[in-house]
Amino acid sequence: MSVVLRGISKSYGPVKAIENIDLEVKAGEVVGLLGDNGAGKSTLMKVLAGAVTPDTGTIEVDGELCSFSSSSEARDTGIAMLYQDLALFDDMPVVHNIFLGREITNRFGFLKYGEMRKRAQEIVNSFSVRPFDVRTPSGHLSGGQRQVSALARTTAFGSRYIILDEPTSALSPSARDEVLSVVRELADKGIGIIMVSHDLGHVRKVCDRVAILHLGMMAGMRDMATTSQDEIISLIVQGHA
Amino acid sequence: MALVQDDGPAARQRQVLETSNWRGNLPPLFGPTKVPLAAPAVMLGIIALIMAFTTPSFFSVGNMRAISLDASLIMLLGIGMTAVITARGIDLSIGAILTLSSVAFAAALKDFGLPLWLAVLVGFATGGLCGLINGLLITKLRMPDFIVTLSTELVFRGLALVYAGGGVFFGFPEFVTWLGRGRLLGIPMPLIIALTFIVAAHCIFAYHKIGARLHAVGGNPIAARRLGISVLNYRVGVYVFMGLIAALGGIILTGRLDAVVASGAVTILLNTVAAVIVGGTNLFGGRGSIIGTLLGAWLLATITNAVVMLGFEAFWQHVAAGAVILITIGLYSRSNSRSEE
Repeated sequence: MSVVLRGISKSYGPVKAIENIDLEVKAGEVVGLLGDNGAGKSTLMKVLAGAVTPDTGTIEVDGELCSFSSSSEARDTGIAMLYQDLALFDDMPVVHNIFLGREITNRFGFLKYGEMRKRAQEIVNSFSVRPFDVRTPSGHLSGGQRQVSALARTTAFGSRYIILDEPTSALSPSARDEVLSVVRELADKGIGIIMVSHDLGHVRKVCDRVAILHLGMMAGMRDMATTSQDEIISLIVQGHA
Repeated sequence: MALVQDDGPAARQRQVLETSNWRGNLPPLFGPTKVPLAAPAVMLGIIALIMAFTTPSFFSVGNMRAISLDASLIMLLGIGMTAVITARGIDLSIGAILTLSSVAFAAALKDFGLPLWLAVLVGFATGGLCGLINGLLITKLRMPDFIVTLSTELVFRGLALVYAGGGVFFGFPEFVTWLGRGRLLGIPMPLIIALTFIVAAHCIFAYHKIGARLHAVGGNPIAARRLGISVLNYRVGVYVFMGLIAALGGIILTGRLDAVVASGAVTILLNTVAAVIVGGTNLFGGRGSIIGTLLGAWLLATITNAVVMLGFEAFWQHVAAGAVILITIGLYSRSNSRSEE
């Protein structure tokens, strides 16, 4: 079970954003995606999330060849992306945030609120973080709780692969630990995760492997257990070790 | 590997949160977003208290009917405006849409001799079309709501004036005047119509997926789009809805006056927006309440009436209404800044 990208290239006019990228993420592993600004991380993530169509290359999800023309197509295939801004609705309770777009309703479209609340609370409680009430407006939550809410929404509908864009940025140290803990828990439940981060410490804490992009090309793929921080930095900065 | 250890109190809290009771399973009464309804309710209470001591006749059935008549049209239009503002828009053309659809209705009935039901349909079609034009200009051409509806206010009103040529339509069928002036069980028909729409709109706004998505579209349109919600459809939809509501308001006003004046309904926009904002709907979208709009409309109608009842000159109505709006919004600002602290 894995998602496999082969020979992915994407250009914007004359600018080659990514070129001939191969990447595999297995179910249950966390792969860190690293690279300097302009290395092509965002483009690669968007290709996988269905937000950008590649010029060349193929995407295989659990052995099946897929092509996405929209984010919702990717989501239906089991690939979801959690953007850095979290895309939450601050005035609305967490329960609404989790179910927006896929509400549980009766046949007339009225919300089955009790059922939604119960399921949302179960999802949030399944993470080993400080529990919070899903009836709370998401704007009233701490940074870590907001991340957990967004992750709960991403995982609530059976996503098998999740792309996380800088999930620990702008968080307090304790909230970062909570979020990294949740990331690891999700992987342990069999979800494949690609995590973009600029913080090597966080990458070392949760990632099994790391993919490094340099000027739109794949500079290297390393196991966290066997690589060193110096090697990763060299790959990020110079494109070779 | 767990980086955060689960402890006893957290596990207990989880259990408490998961334990369902009937209260926890009820949807939020006033909708998915918290709107501070206390401010208009408190202002209404204060005015009622003042009037109880100074002018007891304020509470007579006749005066309550007068207030309800004034409030009902604003309530009705406020439903549409609440939807538009919650979806992060604004419609400055409602007075003109109301007038143009009334003129279309009157023309269909008087000039073209169409049956009443068809004339009503023409009125609604005109209102809906005006709303559709607003919605498409705003979403397809990506023009600012404010500019589009300010311009269409002039266009729609101009068209009404061109057709009517400064004339007045009058002498409408009994059914139309009954809608505007009649009573059912002693309750004015405009109030019955407005309250019926308020209840229906509140149910959609607060408990239906359309209402939840409308709040999402206004609160964070980019995120709503990422979740597969059609922001464009919702934004066009609220303007069409506003147009239809304005058309209904036009027919009720026609019945009340037994006349259509193409240069009328000029102040209705400000009153409607004021009622919606006083009712706690966020002018920048994402947070709204139909019940708040009901309170806002009732508050404005009460102030206008109270000023007259207290024996002040009618011009003081504007001063009093403006002051109450400022005080209510001031109360919101204080409560907002406290919650941010």
